[in-house]
Amino acid sequence: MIPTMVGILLITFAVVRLRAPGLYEEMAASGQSAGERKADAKLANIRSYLGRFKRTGNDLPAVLNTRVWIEKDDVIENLWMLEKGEHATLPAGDRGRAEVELYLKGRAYVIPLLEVLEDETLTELHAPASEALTICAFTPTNIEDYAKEQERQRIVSRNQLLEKCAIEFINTQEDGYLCVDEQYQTKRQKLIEIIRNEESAFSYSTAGKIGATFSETGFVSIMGKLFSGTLYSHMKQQFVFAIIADRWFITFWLNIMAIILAWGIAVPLGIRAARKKGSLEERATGGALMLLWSTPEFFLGTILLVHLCTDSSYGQEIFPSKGLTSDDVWMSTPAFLWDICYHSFLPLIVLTYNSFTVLSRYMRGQLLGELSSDYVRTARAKGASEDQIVYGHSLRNSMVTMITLGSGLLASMYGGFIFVELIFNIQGLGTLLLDAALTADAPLIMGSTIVSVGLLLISILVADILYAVVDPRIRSQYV
Amino acid sequence: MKTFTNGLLGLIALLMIYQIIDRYLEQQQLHDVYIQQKALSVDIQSLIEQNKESNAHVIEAIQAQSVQQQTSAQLLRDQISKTPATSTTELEMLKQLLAEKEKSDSLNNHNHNQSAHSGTAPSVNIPQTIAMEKTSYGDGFPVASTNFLLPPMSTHLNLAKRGGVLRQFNSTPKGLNPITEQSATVSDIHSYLNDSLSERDHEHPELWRSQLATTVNISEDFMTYTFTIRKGVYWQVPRIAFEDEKYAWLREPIELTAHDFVFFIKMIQDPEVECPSIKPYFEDMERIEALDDYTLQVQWSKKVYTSMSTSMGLGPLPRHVYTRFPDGSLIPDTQIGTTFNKHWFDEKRQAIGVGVCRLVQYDDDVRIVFERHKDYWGKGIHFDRIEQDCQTKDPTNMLTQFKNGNISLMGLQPAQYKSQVLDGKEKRFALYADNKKADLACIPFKRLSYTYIGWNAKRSLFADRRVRQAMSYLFPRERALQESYFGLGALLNSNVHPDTIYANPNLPAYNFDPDKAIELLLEAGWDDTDGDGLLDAFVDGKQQSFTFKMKYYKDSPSWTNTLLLFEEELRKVGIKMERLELEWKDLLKVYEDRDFDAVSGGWRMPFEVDFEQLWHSRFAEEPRSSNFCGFANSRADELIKAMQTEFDVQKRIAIAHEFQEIIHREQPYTFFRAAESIVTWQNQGAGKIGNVGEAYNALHIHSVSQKKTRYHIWKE
Repeated sequence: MIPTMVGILLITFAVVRLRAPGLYEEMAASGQSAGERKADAKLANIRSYLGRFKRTGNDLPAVLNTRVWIEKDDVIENLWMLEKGEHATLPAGDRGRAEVELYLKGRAYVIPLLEVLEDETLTELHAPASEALTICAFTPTNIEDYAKEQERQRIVSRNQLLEKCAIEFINTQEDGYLCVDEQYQTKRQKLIEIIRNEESAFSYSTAGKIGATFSETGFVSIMGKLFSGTLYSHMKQQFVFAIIADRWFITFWLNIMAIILAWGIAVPLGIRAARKKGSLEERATGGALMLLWSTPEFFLGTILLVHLCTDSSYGQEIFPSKGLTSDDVWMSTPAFLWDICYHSFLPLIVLTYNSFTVLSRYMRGQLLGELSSDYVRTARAKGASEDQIVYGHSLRNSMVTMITLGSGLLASMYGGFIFVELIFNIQGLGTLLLDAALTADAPLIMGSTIVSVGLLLISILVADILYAVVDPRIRSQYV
Repeated sequence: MKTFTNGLLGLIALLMIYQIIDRYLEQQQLHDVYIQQKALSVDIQSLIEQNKESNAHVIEAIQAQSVQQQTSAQLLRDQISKTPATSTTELEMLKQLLAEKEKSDSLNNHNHNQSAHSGTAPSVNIPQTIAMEKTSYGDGFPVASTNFLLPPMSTHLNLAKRGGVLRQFNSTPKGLNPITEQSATVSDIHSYLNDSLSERDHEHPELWRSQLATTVNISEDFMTYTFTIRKGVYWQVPRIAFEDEKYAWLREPIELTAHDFVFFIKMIQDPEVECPSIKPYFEDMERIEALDDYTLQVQWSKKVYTSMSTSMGLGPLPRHVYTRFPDGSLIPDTQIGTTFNKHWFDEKRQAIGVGVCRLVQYDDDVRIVFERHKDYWGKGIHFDRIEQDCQTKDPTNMLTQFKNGNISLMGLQPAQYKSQVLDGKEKRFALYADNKKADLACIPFKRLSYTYIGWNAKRSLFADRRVRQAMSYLFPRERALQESYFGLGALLNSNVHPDTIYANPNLPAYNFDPDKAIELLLEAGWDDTDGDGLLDAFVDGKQQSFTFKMKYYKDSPSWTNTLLLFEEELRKVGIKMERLELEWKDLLKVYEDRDFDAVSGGWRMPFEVDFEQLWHSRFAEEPRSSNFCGFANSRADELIKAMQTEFDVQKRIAIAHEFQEIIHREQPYTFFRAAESIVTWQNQGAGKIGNVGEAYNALHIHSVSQKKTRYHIWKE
């Protein structure tokens, strides 16, 4: 169970990370919808995006933070690379991106940049280094800080002070970096003073560097938030688990009902098929079930929606097309229960029809195996009735396999409920997950995946316990 | 087996019990909500009544506009009470005077505060009060030194036919703050909730109509704008004020003043406030100041035409809410910016304004509900209630909801339009132009955006103007419009939408004409000399055949179809086009890095054309610029600069015409199609919402002011 969970966490993280837009993309894409751009959009300053972006944790490297090993010389090289003049090595289009990347390096680059700024021989680089330094040392205000007013004020005024210390410069093709700031020396001294005062927050010991290589990463940051329950969705402006708490029950209820329905229908079908082996009826139902099995859920769902839920010139609305309850809130409890059943009828069918086939075929196979075994022959010889044999002896023995399948059922539904909820307009975890994926809302994807997978794993656990219920041999080992 | 069955039954029983308990609790909660909803319908007038005794200063604020009359009436009243009972004639005389005084007072108040005093039946009183406005209005054409504003929009609403519910789709926005959240959804919500200083006329968008400003005065240099703010307009009371006693301080009626507009700009310009996408528009705004409560002055550092629409379209922000903590105490000045980013008012999902509607319900991912704002200063909106469904996301289900009558008005996707309407899959659909009595009527409407194919002038293949012109002649645009877009859209000859006043009608169209194209290509040196079926020419020091790569947006089937047609036509004359579909993210990178021979694209235009960003030569070399095709023309540069500072509409039109001639001759793009979409609505039956067809048939509707749809839908 635990390894499965860790595996799923890793895969989700990797996918989310690959899908996440970088700061540069975010800046370029602001005010634009897909396929069309706004003709009067204006370019914005990187500083106004920084707070938002840093709060997502996407500025940190994914799993290994090699930035902490950076030295002054690397930074100097990096700064020259961005120049337009004689040192220029980057094509024009890439320079903007590389610049933003440098600005996002954060904490680890602060001390090397400070050393550049302090070095009297590198006057040409002082201005760009100060720009990069003030942005790297920028601290975003986090959700937690909003609770502590004073702390937030301190962070904000420090950020403002840093911004004022950035030395103005221009980057030209003819002369490279050119400082155009009259207060160049005062700003420089002030900046050095501020950062030197906070030096302890930015410098690492060797052990600290090794630790930071593994700990100051996007993975650790998001996992920390996940397990402390402080994962916050910036898209929905709410804590992830609060959003999920509003919705998980709908999905849970739907799935429990679907499993009960699937078992309730598939097991008798399987038993009947086993008892009527080879008959026309068995072959007909078997064929029909196979046909159902090969129909995709989203397809059948849409067909049902269009033909049974839509008022059209060729048909009437028979089933509701929206949600799990009516909008009318003043119903008596029996009417309400009926209302729920009426609303969930089609979604449940779409969720379950797939599992009828698998379950009933397995049931049939298992039961046939049992019916040809020795103890059944003995029972028959003793004169037991066919019903006694099937329901009293064989069925119970076949159940062990069926329970194993039952837990796998939930896993197969996991894919199904996203479609079902989307098509039938149900506000459960499925639509939440889909929404999160479409808007690239990483914290919400993480959170809802974990909860869905958690539900799945719990149901596997329940299946394990049920083994003991049906099989006395297993029970005797533990009880 | 028995244990198992028992367990199963037990589980079902547990679930049922849970449902019943949950249901019971829910009923209780719903009852509370119901009570709150009722409380919400209390209007400002009754609030004023309630507060009268405890808050003398509130009454003062409300009647501030008629202080003088008020005082004299008060004096009269005092005198009556003091007059001895014996002198009856004097008393009679005084009473008569008082009656007259009060009558004129109430009329004056009507003038300023039309609905606050109109009680429960505002519909009867409003038309008269509008007629009584003393402000002298102009003809709507922007000129310096006079109030040119047209009177507020008042002819659109048929008061006798007011009522009903408008049901639409919307999506849940990230938040409700009008500054930090800059999505189309949020601005849509705030266009219901709030008004701006003035608005564009719905029929003639180049004219301006008064809204919250009764007068505007532009200085001779077009850099200073002075507005008079309408008096007696009150902020809506947010619903939270009734839901929670803690917020009872919000019930106090607050009048709209010039300071609310200043606060709006102050928040945008505050470095701490996170609104990167709108900040740049206000960078040149040098000063904004409230000269007094009802006078607002805006000063720009440059004379630029676009600053006019920015100034005229300013909206207010509820200063009395955003400058306070939840308990009603003031936030210190230094902290306002930082608190604003995550203000408690937004966290509580509240939003207020001074507009036609009030937000009465907001459930994340479920629904947003507006109600007509009873105390609105103007005539307001047709509908009693607007309900927005935020939970339906699947296009098939959206159509189902519409067909079932749960939605009054929606947009159809091109594919849905094709199958449902054109192929007749659903008989109830019909184009409004064909059948005015159709159950579900649809109408195409134009949007201010266009699509094009851009040619990279920095690459030798398309550096020659004649080659670009030939490409335009080879593009089968009429066929593509019919086959890929089902006739939705208008063909375009230049970079200005054909329906705006700036469009040049005299430009000859580049209609499909392969002969002309071949002629032009021959002239430019392209000919099939080696007999391999492809045109070739001596380019970049070597003999090359005419092949190029076309990059385009992946998720648009219409583009793919169009380009397949184009590819076929090009092949016939000996040009090989390679199609490369790209994700939007990658396509953006292509634009930025100019890494293309030819690329597809679309521009969404503002109403006021400013050609600089797209066409000025100083951007032709710059990375990340919008002039990614490398268009450079010195005469065009002059025209761009002239247009920016020209405020006379006729001269602006002349400049725009000349500019389009240059663009037309140079063909940096092959202009294709001005966008058109389909809207459909319940035209008959119980849920019908009235005459949308008349409201939707002009260009400006959707792009200039979405409000038109709201105002102009009237019941028949």
